[in-house]
Amino acid sequence: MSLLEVSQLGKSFGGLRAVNDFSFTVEEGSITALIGPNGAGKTTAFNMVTGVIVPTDGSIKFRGQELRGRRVDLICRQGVARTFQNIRLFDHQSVLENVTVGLHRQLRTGFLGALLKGPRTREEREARVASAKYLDFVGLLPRANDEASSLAYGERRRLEIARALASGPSLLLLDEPAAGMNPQETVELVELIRKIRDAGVTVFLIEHDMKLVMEISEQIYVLNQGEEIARGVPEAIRNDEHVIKAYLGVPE
Amino acid sequence: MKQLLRNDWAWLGLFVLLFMVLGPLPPAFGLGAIAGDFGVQVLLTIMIYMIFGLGLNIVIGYTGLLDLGYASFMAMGAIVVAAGLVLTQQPAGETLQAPLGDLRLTQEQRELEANANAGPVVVQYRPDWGYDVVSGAEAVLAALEAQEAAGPDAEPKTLSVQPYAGLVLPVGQKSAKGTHPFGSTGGFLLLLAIAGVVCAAFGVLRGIPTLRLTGDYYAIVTLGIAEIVYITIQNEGWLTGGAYGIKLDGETIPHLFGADPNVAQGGTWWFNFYYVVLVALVFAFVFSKRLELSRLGRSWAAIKADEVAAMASGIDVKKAKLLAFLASGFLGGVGGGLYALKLTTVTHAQAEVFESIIVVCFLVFGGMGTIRGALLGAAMLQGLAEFLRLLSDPFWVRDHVFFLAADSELSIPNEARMLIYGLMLVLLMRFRPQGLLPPRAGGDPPSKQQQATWRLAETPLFRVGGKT
Ligand SMILES: Nc1ncnc2c1ncn2[C@@H]1O[C@H](COP(=O)(O)OP(=O)(O)OP(=O)(O)O)[C@@H](O)[C@H]1O
Ligand SMILES: [Mg+2]
Repeated sequence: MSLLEVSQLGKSFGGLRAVNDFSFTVEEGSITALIGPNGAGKTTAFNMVTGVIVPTDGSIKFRGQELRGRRVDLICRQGVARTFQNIRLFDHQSVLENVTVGLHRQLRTGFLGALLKGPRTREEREARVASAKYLDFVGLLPRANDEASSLAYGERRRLEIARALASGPSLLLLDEPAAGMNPQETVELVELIRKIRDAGVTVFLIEHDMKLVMEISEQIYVLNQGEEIARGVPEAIRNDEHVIKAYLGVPE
Repeated sequence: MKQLLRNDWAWLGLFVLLFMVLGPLPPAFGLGAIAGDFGVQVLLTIMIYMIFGLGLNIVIGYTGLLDLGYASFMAMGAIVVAAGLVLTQQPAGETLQAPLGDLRLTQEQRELEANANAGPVVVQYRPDWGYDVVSGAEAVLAALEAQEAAGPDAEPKTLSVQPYAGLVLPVGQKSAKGTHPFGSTGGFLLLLAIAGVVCAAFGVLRGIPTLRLTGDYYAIVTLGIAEIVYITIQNEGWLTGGAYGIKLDGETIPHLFGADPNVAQGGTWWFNFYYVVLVALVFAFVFSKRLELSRLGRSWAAIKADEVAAMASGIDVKKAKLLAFLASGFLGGVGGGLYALKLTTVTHAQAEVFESIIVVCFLVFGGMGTIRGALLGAAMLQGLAEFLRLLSDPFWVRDHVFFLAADSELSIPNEARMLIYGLMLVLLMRFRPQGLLPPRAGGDPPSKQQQATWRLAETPLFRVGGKT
């Protein structure tokens, strides 16, 4: 059984068919990529898997359990975490606090607990230490106390990854993690993604940087105008004529 | 210094110190009479509005939802306490015999036609002059005529009357049972807790239909619900006294730490009440602060910053919002309950839109989202409001503004208060749009040593994939 099994996924926005009859699987322990030209429906597919938008058709099975129709936070609790194409950080909180929010599902203290015990609890201390360690994992520890909005672009993307990892996912979805990064940052990102996968987290990513995609992916899906036009290992995709046509926009 | 300015505890300490220095002295020093003083009333009002500011800050400042109906909570808390104090002593529907001579009719009522069958006579007791007749004046006229017909030597008659809800009954005619369940310190604190719980429940109830709303839509809906509450309070006279409101007096006001509000102008009582309110303020502070620093407080901040990212981080947004409404409602109820004792007359005016707006102004002024901002905003704006109230009293102005002639009648009309408020807000928006004490995240970077400690520390919460 694959970690993620999606069949006949479809989404219509009014008259627009953003994703149509898209079936795919993500194998446990792999790095899988989803590529395609702008507006192909990649982010829409991610949004459906993570519950941010509800699919019009199809089913999404994670470890055999149906995710379709589930609340976003419950899907996160199942072990699916994500980052966003248009980075969504908690800008006015510190870098460390951003990660601590990601720890939410691993912590217990509720309303009454907070009132009765106050902030000096073992759980809070551990949460702070763990947040710091996630930051260290993505290389942001020295920035722990800065306001999130003060980070540079590449750092913001890495902070989002740290926050996603803090929820303890087994599947991590990255929406264009290299967008806006310089070549040096991209190299570091590739290392980070490999490190995450090697630790045992399955990675599913959307990316326009073909060099990166070809370098790290084991399986690639290609969407164009909501339709799957190719799937396979990097070598096969690189030479697929449909893919080349879609990307180069060769006239019919 | 900068650190100190950003420390909520430092601000709390400062305000508590100020309240203690400026407040009433212990009655043992023989200065208990100062308690009736205007200044102490102002300080009490400021403290109570600080509690309101802290309560509203949970929804607006922490969670980022613009709530324009907080007055509902303030009023409901006050009504629960006032009605609780009055109605437990005077079961609804109980009739009593009032001396006919004590029933007061207005000129208009006296011109009505006598009619013995006009329906129940409903009265409101005024300690100093008897009973105001609220309805059934025709029957009173009929009884008066009958008395006159009987001649001057006849026994003075009494008339069976019904108390208007919220009325104050004369001593000795209180409850048939003669008990005052909320009349002690403990009883009052219990009643205050009940007010908090009722308002917390109302907060959740009101929150359910608004859960999906954000921004302007949320603001408008809360405004609308507040209007419904306002009208309901006006109409449900059996509980709220309707347009008359509920009056508390020396009999219904609970004794605090043994102090009777009636004795020696209530100096000791006011002293005790003042410190009850101060302790409640500290309680509201700790309540807010603990929530702010908790997992729930982080969830609120996340929702305020980005609801989708909050959800995707595993936060149950609806639950977190409902808990914010609950916490905020609770503080509103407690503050309202204290306000009832300070005001002694609780009317629907407490639920007016204006009351909601001024508390929002505290937060805007102080800096949205910080406890210190809520405290400072409440102190400055409520202090200013009380000062402007003074300036609207020509006698005070004549006696206290030194350059005015003794026969001067200068004063600032009450309505001008809003104008001055508005002007201050405009100036603030121009020169410091984030408010006086806005939230600040972060601080100095962690030291090398600190970083090393973190790296070496072990915790089960750090786990990437299967590995820690
Ligand atoms: N919420 C929405 N409402 C209406 N249309 C939408 C919505 N979200 C996406 N679309 C449309 O669906 C199509 C697919 O968008 P999507 O964001 O999934 O593309 P993408 O493959 O992620 O593109 P990009 O590489 O530019 O990020 C686009 O035509 C887009 O305009
Ligand atoms: Mg996209």
